[in-house]
Amino acid sequence: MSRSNGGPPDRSTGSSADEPLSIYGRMPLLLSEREYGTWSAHGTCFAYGIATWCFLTGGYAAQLVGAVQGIVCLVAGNLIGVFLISAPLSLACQRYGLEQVDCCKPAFGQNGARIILIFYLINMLGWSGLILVMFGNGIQNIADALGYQTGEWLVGAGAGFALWLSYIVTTRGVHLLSIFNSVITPALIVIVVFMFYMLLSEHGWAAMVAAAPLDPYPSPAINYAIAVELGIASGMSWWGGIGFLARNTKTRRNSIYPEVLQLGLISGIACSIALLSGLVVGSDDPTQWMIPLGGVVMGLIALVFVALANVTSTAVSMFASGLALRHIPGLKKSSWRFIVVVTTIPLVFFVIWPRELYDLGDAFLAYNGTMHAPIAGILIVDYFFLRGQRLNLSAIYEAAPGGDYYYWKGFNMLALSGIVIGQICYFLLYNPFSGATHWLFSIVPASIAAFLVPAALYWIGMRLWLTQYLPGATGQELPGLQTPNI
Amino acid sequence: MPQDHPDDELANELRRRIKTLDSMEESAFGAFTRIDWVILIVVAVVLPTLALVAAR
Repeated sequence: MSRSNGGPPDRSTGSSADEPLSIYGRMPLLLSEREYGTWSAHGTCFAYGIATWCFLTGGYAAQLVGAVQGIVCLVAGNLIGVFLISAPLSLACQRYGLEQVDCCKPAFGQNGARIILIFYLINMLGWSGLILVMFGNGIQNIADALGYQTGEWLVGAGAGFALWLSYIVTTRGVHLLSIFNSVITPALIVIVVFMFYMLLSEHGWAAMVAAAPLDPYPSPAINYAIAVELGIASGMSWWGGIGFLARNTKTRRNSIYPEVLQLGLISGIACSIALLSGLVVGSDDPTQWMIPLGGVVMGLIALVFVALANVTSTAVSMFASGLALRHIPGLKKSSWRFIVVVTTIPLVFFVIWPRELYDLGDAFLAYNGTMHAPIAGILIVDYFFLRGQRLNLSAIYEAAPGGDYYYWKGFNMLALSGIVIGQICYFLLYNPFSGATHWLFSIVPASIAAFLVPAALYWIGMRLWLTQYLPGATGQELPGLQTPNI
Repeated sequence: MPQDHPDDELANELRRRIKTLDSMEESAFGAFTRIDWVILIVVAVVLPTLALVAAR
């Protein structure tokens, strides 16, 4: 994704001077402009799937469950989560060349989709903040390995340094990002394979299976249920990248198979290797695994690459967030540099309180389920069951009141209330911040409940009360595009 | 001849793209059959769910 996400947008289109205006902006992409065939779609998703946040997810799961249960939770959960979020987005974004937030307008309304944008930004910038702190931890561990006595301040300083590097990369655009990624991504793949090789050769499968979880709750059933939740939420965390990848593919199959296989399966395997590392080393901090697994020299080299990978991952997230901010009227014509500065503001909190926010990482991961599960359920019902995979492109880009997707003042309150209901369902079953659980949680994952309940209510509500907004209804359609919103 | 305002250029370009995409045959975007759905649902829902139940 990073390769295609780059390019400093400079005007209201978000396009750079020498790039097609549609690729870096919100124009629907024509087939002739799309970059990804089968291999490039798989390759891009593969590179994107093996990212440093896999290390974090594996580390969190290692706190709760052992190797076998953890691998099942992470791989199966990732597959389910990715499939649920990508099914409607992939096929719709591919068919209509749509940017992801625009694709949410038929269900949530012209203005309602901007609320989805908030979740999108929380997701992207939250992950970025966590891996900035991971960079700071890496710096501290490198200093410790070299014999320097350091304090906690170094973690925050390292996170600040990484944020500055990410800002530089993001403002310079696609070229620098591509150079970074052409080095970092292969290195990260080598590190993951190397970690697995060292785990097998130095410790063996039996030791990995026998390793106890690091910090479990008293109930094994609850530990397993939370690990399932982490797996599904991890898959759903890819929500922010789905549309961009899909709109750049030429065929329907290339829009969804690579996402399910690479972001679901391969990413789940990468998370699992991280889980095994955490169990064997006895720490959920990925930056503490490298030296025990690879020795001082190899461990330090790996740590440096992991730290740099954190910068590229953060830059990609800041880039995607910057593009998404173009949906906000006041920022449509702002300079790209200003928009990138805006994306850094929430990340500054991770520099000031790195340890406190990093410790909330597992709760944040689970919280991704509360954000994306209801959206996924509503989008599936809307795109497949209510609209029969047919969207009105003109209505999506229509800023004038009225039109197929305008609803009430631009908001579909039914869909938006579905998100609230989904979050309530989630928190009734499992509160990721307090750890409180309902007895049903060990039977039904909270994110699945938060997916199914809003989906069902949305289908019923649209069929009963909002039929005028469904295809075939009359009286709302405007004659062509009146006031383009681009 | 008066030059178009940049926003008008964008609007015209957007209209052109919408017209192009709306007029294209569905087959131009590649096939996606019931077999694809079966494969995806088995790989991404049924097998993972069975694995999760078995490992509980």
